[in-house]
Amino acid sequence: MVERRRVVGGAGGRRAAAAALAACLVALAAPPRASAADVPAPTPDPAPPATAGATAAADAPDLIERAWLAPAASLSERTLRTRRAALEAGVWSLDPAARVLLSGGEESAEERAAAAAQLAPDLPAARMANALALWRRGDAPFAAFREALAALAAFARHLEAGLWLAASALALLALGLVAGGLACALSAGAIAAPHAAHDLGDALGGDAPAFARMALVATLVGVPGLLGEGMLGVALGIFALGALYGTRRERVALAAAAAAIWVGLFPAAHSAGRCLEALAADPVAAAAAAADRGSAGRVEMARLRAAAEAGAATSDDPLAARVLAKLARREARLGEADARYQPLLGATADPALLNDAANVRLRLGHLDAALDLYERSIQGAAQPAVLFNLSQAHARSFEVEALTRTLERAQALDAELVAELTSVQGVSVAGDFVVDLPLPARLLWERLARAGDGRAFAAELRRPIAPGRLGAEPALALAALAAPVLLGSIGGARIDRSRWCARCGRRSCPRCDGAARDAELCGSCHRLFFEPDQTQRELRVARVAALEERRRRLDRTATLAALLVPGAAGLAAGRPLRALAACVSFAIALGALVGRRGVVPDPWVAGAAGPAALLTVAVAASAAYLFLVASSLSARRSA
Amino acid sequence: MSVALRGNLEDFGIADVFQLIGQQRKTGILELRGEGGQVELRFDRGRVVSAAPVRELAHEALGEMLVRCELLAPERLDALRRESAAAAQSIPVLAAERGWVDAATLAEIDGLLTRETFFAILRWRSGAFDFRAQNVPHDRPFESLHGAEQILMDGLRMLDEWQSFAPSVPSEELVFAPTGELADWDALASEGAVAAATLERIFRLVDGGASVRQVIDRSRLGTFDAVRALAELRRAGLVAIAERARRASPPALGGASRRLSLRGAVATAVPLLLLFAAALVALGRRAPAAALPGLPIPRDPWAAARAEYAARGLAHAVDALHFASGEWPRSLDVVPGAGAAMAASGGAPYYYARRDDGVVLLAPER
Repeated sequence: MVERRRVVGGAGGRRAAAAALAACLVALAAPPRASAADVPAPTPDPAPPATAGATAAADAPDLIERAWLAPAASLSERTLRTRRAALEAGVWSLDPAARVLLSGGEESAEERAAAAAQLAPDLPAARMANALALWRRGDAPFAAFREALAALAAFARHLEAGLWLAASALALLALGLVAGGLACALSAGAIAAPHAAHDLGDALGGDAPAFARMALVATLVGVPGLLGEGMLGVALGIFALGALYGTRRERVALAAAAAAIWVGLFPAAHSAGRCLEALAADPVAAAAAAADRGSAGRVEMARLRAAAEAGAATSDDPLAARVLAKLARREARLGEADARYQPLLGATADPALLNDAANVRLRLGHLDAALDLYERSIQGAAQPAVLFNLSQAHARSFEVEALTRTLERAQALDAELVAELTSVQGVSVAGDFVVDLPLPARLLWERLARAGDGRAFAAELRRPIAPGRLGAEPALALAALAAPVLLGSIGGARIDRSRWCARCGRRSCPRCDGAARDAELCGSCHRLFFEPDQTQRELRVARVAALEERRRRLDRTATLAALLVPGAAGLAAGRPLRALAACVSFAIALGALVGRRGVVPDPWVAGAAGPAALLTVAVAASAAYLFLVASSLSARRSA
Repeated sequence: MSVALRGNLEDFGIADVFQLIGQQRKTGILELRGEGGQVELRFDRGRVVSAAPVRELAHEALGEMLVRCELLAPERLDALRRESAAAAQSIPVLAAERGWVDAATLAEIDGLLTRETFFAILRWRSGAFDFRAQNVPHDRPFESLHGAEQILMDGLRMLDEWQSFAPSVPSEELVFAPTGELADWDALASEGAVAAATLERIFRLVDGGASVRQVIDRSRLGTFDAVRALAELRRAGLVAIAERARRASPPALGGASRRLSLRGAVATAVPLLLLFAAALVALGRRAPAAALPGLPIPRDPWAAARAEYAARGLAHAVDALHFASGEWPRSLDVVPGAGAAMAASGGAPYYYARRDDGVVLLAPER
């Protein structure tokens, strides 16, 4: 539905902070310099001069184009007139006109941005351009902030922009999950590897030196990778090491890391691919969306007609017929429009479809039928625009009381929208101002969700990490990721593991030192702290001082590492799950910052709102990361 | 901690220091720094408790003496060093706890170390001393301790005698070999000042391979007694200098050790070879596979998606141009974003054609 605007008022610290954040986002999201790999916003000829274009307007078949190209005294007049025509045609967001305005013109940039946002309230590029114009004006920071938020919210209503953003965000999420999970597993493996090398060397005998033992472990860990499974194969060995030598908490974190990697490699990557492929996979839906925004070209029209003809025979694609009906009404071919609507009305409860059909009936003079269809639409969902249309029908039948009641009901739902419609209606010299509704976004999203495959994209995304069978079979990958964690957890409880002493950091091995199984302290530290009578006082004092100095040194190192190395804070605090979350947050933040211009070129729909949206993701992920680091450091200090 | 006595051995000889401590019945630690390093002597009411070179760890010198006497393996001493530092316990106590050395042997070697240390410092010509009066804990009966003056007298006597036989054994690095027979022992014992048992012990240790130092250490008699016995044996013609030892002999390796060494080499080499092979396999896998005729051309879906989205942007630009003027652009050349869109598609051309009712714009086929 149409975007509503509200007047900003009041002030406060929170708003000031929000305004500052918006300023940062706006500054960072400002369109970058063009590079060869990007598609800069093209700059077509600016909007037609206010007094020119009469000939072109007369030739234009479309009433929106006629309204746009007809001579006008000012931009605001042209905008209002075009807006009315667009609303009447069911085009709530007229993207082509907004692009024309954004690309240049005689008027000031602020005026053009405001007009663009008015004509295309669902186009994120237009809304963010308006936000930037308001910000540059300097006297309305809160209005700029609100407009920036509206630009971000517009992604949900604009199909093409939404898919572009969803694809980029999902790809970044996939990368973040995989990178974070791998980083977490790698750190657990790095901690476990020396012990594994020691114990494996003991088991095999031969008294091999530490580097040879480590080489053996590295070889074993790398075997799945050598078998063609790539980095994911190596990760399996690392997971096994971590699970064998980890604590219960670390094993839980490893299981979560394995799940994160799997989700990143399969569902998230698949979803990103489906988003990218959706428009190409269902060209009819893409054409319908383009028509809904007033930018259907020859190719789109041909697709819609072909689909509608096929739909008539098979009754399986009513979307094309519906859009053709809208376009027919837009071009004043009311008979054709009504003929296309009637087969679709049957048992439908789609309020938008009922409203649009009612509009045609009203124009054709079938007042009762129109009223009936409006009532059916309102029964499905009482929308202010439909109530407005119904009020117009009541006006047509001179039912003043019903008109007043219906209009009040519409105002109660959305007074601003009714005010806008009334204002636009005032421009019209002729009567019969009723508005079509846009195609329900849910309808298009559901259809595109079914259409996109995304497997090829996901496979390509996985290929560097999982080039083998694990990358091709999700179930096998899930089993392969779960197996080492599970087996490592079971095996870890049964073997005599060496480990670092919690006090002195020396290796404590049940075989070499006779240390107790899974004891946190080595025998020496146990004697030092729990059997002081078995020690020499002078030596004990010196040793305790040395250990205290070591602890302080490690504390300093851990604090430094916590600030510099993602995940180190959680590991140092003994909170491996937080370490995993921090790794994922950091990877997402970094990915969103680096890839803020999206994984594919912006098809001139997101504009500066695209980087702003992805930077918002980066800011949110950074905030989560900082929170995790701070809470981990706090937990470490209080431990 | 108060300093009771400090000075140079040139000004105040070691004999004077000992006499002073003995007469005054002082308790504390005398630290000496000189040509032979740093040593520490502990006194309890004027009697000598122990004397040993100063090392990083307490009683580390005793551990070294155990190794020299071949009562403790060097690896075990290393382990004891680490353990002593970590567990705040002395090396002798840890060695006894682990059953590596019994208490009687420890006491014997501690006494030997004290004698050796004292005999060594008596031969110093220069150095500094520093006596700190402090409590000296020990578990030895006071009656068993020797007085400082008595030890000094014995030491001075030994030093006098040392001058007489030391030239027969000019260096501790020399290697002696036996040249006589055991049948001559009785006569030799009755003639000299050295006990027959001592002579026999030394003679048995002289094997033509061990250096004088090793013979001394293995005999556990101390430098003075062992060298004196060796000098006697040489004078009697029962032993003679064989050769100069080039370096300290390594511990003899038995068959089991050789087997262990072989297993260690295998255990070292095999993982490294495996890792090397794995690296070769990994490098081999990274080589790009050549395209084979007849196989489908691999497509990059991401590149296709980039081109597709660039084409969408271009279509929007064309649409905007049309909306601005009511005319469709004659070619993509007049659309400002076309060049960048071409770059995004890898330079592949877009299909663009004007028709009566609009235009056709298609992304490049990939």
